[in-house]
Formats: sequence, C-alpha cells, structure tokens
Amino acid sequence: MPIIIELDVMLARRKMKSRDLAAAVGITEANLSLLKQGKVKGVRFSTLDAICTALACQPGDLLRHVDDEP
Amino acid sequence: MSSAARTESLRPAAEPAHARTTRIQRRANDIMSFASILAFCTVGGCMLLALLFWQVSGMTRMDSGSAQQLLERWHLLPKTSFDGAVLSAALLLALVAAMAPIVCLRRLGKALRAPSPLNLVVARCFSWLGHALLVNLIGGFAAGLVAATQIPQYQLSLGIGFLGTLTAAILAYAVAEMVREGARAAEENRAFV
Repeated sequence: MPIIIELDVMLARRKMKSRDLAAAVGITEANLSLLKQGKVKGVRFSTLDAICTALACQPGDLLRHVDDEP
Repeated sequence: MSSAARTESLRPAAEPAHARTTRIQRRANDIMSFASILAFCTVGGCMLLALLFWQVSGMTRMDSGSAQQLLERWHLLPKTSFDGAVLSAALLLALVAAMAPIVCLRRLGKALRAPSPLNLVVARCFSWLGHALLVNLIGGFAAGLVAATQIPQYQLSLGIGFLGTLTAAILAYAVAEMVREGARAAEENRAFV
C-alpha cells in the first residue's frame, strides 16, 4: 500500500502503550493494531485528530507516502 | 428564526446505534410471533379441512345422505362423489404453498435479531421470502386448479390477493438487493477506523 503508517515510531517516541492510545482515541486495541499494520481501508479524520491530540504530533508524523513504481 | 436554524430544527436528532438495534430486534420479535400465529392457523385450518373430508369419505360408505348434508353445510360439494386422493394432494400442495412464506418470514425474523442486522444473511432471507411468495402464488393456483376439478362450486379467481402477493414478492427482491448493498457499505465502513 502506498501509505505507510508510522504509529509504532510515534508510540515509542512518546513512550506510550497501544492500550493507552486506543483508550485515549476511543477505538479498540484490535483496530489500532490493524491501523499499525496498515490493514485498514481508511482512517476517519476524527480518529486522526484524536491520535494527533494524544501523541501531540502532526498527521505528517504518522503518515508517509511511497511510490508504488519499482 | 433564520432559514438555516429552521432547517436544523427540522432535522431529526441522530439516534444512538443501540436504540436503533433494539428497535429492529423488537420488530424481528414481532415478525417471528406473527409467523408463529400464521403457521398455527394455517396448519390448524388444513387439519380441519382434512378431518372434514376424512369424515365425509367415512360417512359416505355408511350414510350418504348425512354426508351430503355435512358437505352442503360447508358449501363444499353438491355431490359426495370426489376423488379423495386428488383432493388430499391438492390440500397438501396448498399447505406447502401456504407454509413456505411463513417459514421464510420466521427465518427473516431470526436473522434480524443479529447485533448488526445489515448483513448478507438478512439479504438472503429477503430473497428467499420472494421465492416463497412466488411458490405460494403458483402452488396456491395449482392447488385451486386441482380442487376445482373435484369441487364444482370452487371457482378460481385472479383478484387483489394474487396481485398483492406478486407485489410483495417483487418488493422482497428489491429489499434484498437494498440490504445487500447496505451490507457492502457497512462492511466498507467497518474497514475504516
């Protein structure tokens, strides 16, 4: 998938556990895990807003685009 | 009041998901209860009819006059000469045709009790209800055709009931497609976090 989600990196930087982030954002740990693995079809702006608020970061810190071309 | 405020006040407040689900489950329970009552009445009616014909065929051998009187009271046959096997087949066919939509209705009610009612199982139930209503139409007509050969007073008619059942079958198919589409959208929505 061309969009890479670097949630693990931000969680490590902020020294926060996935369980705590899921509780703060209001999604299940399972969904957060799927998000970390990039196995979701999309992220709602409200969820992105909650994640950025909890981790005190910008959306650009979490999402990175890579080209699909070889 | 400004037009924007007026529009906002007219828009219904968003209902919480659990309240919607509870309402759907209540309707599902109503459907199942209704189907149960229909099934009871249908089977009871058929058994009553079968009992009547059985009694008449028994009485015919012993007392044809009383048998004819019983039939005339029920406005069924002017004469006591009827083929029991053919009438039994017609009755069985009518029973199957009547029970098909009732069974499907009960299955639909059961499927609607799921926590997320917008799913492919519910769509399939609506499709089957459409099939069952067509079976009801065709089976009922065939049973009537057979019965008319044995009961001269019985008349076949294509009235509002026929059209109503046909309309209901078409609507069931349409709703099945809508639910299928809704299930796809719900699945798509679940893939978003």
